[in-house]
Amino acid sequence: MDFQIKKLILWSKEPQFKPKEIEFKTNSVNIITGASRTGKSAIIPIIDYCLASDSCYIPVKTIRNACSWFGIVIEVNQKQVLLARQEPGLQKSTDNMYIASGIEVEIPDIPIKNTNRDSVKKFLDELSSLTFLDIDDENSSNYLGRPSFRDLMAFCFQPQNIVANANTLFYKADTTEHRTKLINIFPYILGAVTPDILAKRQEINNLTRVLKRKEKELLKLKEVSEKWKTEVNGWLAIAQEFGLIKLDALNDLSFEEQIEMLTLISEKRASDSSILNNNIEASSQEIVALRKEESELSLKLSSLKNRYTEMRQLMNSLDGYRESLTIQIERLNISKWLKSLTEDNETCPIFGTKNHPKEQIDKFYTNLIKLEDETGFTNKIPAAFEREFDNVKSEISILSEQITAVQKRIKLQSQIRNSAEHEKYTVENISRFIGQVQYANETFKSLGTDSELIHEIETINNTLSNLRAQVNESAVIQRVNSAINKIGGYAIRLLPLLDSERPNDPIRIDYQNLTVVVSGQDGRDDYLWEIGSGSNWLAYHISVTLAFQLFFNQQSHSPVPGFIVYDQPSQVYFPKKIAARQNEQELDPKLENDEDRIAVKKIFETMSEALKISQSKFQIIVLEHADSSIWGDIHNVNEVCEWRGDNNKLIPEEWIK
Amino acid sequence: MSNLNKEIQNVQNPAFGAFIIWNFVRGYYSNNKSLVPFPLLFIVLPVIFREDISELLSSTNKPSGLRTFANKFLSTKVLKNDLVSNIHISASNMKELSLRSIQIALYSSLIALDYEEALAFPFTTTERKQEPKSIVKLGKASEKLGFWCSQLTLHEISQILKVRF
Repeated sequence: MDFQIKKLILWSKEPQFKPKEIEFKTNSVNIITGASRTGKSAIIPIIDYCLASDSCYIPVKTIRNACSWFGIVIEVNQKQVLLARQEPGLQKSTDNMYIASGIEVEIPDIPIKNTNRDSVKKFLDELSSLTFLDIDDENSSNYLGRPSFRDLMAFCFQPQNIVANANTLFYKADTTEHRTKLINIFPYILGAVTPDILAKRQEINNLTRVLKRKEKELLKLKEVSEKWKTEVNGWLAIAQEFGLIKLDALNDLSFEEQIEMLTLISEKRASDSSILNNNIEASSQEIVALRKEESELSLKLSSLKNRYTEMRQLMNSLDGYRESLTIQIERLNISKWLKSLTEDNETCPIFGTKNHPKEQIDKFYTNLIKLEDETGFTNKIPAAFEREFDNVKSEISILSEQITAVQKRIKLQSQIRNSAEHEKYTVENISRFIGQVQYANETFKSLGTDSELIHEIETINNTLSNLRAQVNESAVIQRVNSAINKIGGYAIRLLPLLDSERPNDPIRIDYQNLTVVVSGQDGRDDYLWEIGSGSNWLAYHISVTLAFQLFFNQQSHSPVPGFIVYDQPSQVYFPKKIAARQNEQELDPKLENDEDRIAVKKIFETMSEALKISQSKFQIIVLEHADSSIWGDIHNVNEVCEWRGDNNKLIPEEWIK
Repeated sequence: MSNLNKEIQNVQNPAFGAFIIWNFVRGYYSNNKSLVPFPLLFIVLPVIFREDISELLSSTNKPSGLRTFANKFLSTKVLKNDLVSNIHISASNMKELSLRSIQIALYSSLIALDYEEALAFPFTTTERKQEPKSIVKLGKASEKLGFWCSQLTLHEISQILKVRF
């Protein structure tokens, strides 16, 4: 995704100081070089914090004591968004955040909380058009939840402890929770599982649930569905009206007891009836209640159906629904529309009155168009409502079933009520009713072989097998493999440019273990942790992380932001001074021999090459000791700032009390 | 006119629309006496005339703001994210109703228009409370919406409500 860092901003705790801004160049390699303890390594935690991380990893003391707010300006689709977050003080983190967006965003003197972390997370999720569907919705555990923007950070940061780490390849993948989640959402990030497939998977799960219920319905008469219960209830209610039975509470009976009752009725004769006044009254009250229930249900149903139609329309306009989850919309264009309402230039567009001064109308239009242009919206808007779609669908089917049951009962009651109004309570009519009950009784008893239910189950089974064919899990695996091969391909292209022992041995991404496997000529597969030397680890880290960015870049829509930050990739080449005492340690280590200088230069050349392959479509930020004498002449490298010498650090000295 | 059309006319008529739009302008104006950009008037009715949206609007606290309100639709409890995406389409469908409502609001001196700048402001800012409860409720919702919009730029509003002016 076109999502890059434009600026990093710090606000001082002292209001007299202006905020400090550090500006980055998009689509290039940005370098902040400097001595130790100047604040270089705080850059990753600051960016991460402003992108709504759960806790604050910005180093305490100097930086946190001096700053009141941290902020970044990101550039997304040619527009800017300022995200700032308050310094947490003594807390672990704070949810107070500030957000502003525009074509060119203004930096406030001091941000005032206007949103919270949760909202920003949702904003970022939507911005990257992430799906709302869970990866595996049968398991509600967090590990299998929906992919979130925060998960994507794994591909954007390589802090010092990761950049040459043999055990971990990705940011934050060293904790079990993040690791498991990342492994699970990998097929989605690689584009092998689309929202379309996720939606279908969810539908399969829903249908399987329905199927189970129906099968139960069929097998166990004890737990028969609402539909049948209501119908039997109807029969019993009429029987009560005719005085054939006497019941206190109809609804408390189990289905089995109800069937028993029916058998009892069917054995009765018409002469057994004793019509009671209050029985009739009760039944007419019931019919009124039923009618009310029916109309309420139908109201709900029709509003749901409306919403469903609207969703269908939106769904149809979802551009490339399978990948990007964005809708293309035409502008409202009020100005153009108003203009079309009046033919000449002297009619007021609002009232339609003639002979309005032309200059005024012109001015009105000019300003109206100016207002419309202020919004500067692209024609695509992010949209994700697959969950909602699913939900409405299942609600409709539940309501439909309920309404059918109620209608059936009404029909039953009114049949007798309306058919022969004057002879309703005659012996003949009652005998006819008893005959019907006998028939109904037979039906209920043979529920086990109910053809309607069997038919329903058959239909569901057909739909299920149809859906399963469409989801085609083996094709998903194939797509994952092809994506991984592509990434491996990029990495192999970059690896020989770096300083590693086995530049030509092919590598493979093992996403189930989140690592790299190097296949040797002797036919053995070596995992990253089995290979020695920091310089090798570094080479694999750089080539693989860049390869991932190249892959995301090449996808038509990837949710992963197009930037990556490396913190001191050259650390493995600097001379170690462990034995030295604290105050004797050099603040700005130098590369001592030429070999190391060449190796470090290779790192930057590789980055520049990766940008070249992508045609400069993403951004690399490097925080480094190495100075411009090493990377000065490499193409597309931009020095952001050099923190060396007096009062030249992340935090200006005057900010520190 | 069929019965159903009559029903719609009873609820979604330009006179009522004028009342709603006036309340929106009033709410917008209440924040530092700011004037409403004309195109913004066209998103008021699609929001207020939609039962689910205006219910949620009424139940959102005034200090929360438009972003919090729009985010509510995303939550699993509400599960109505599609409604936000639909505002743009409704705005397009209700264009004429909106215009006629604006006309009535202008005629009846509820709102006035800085014609050359294409900005609207209220003529009278006194809240009306003698109308039936249900109407007052919608008026209040519209006022809140206006207040929220006044805190944001047109660009931000168009992004949050997904409307392309």
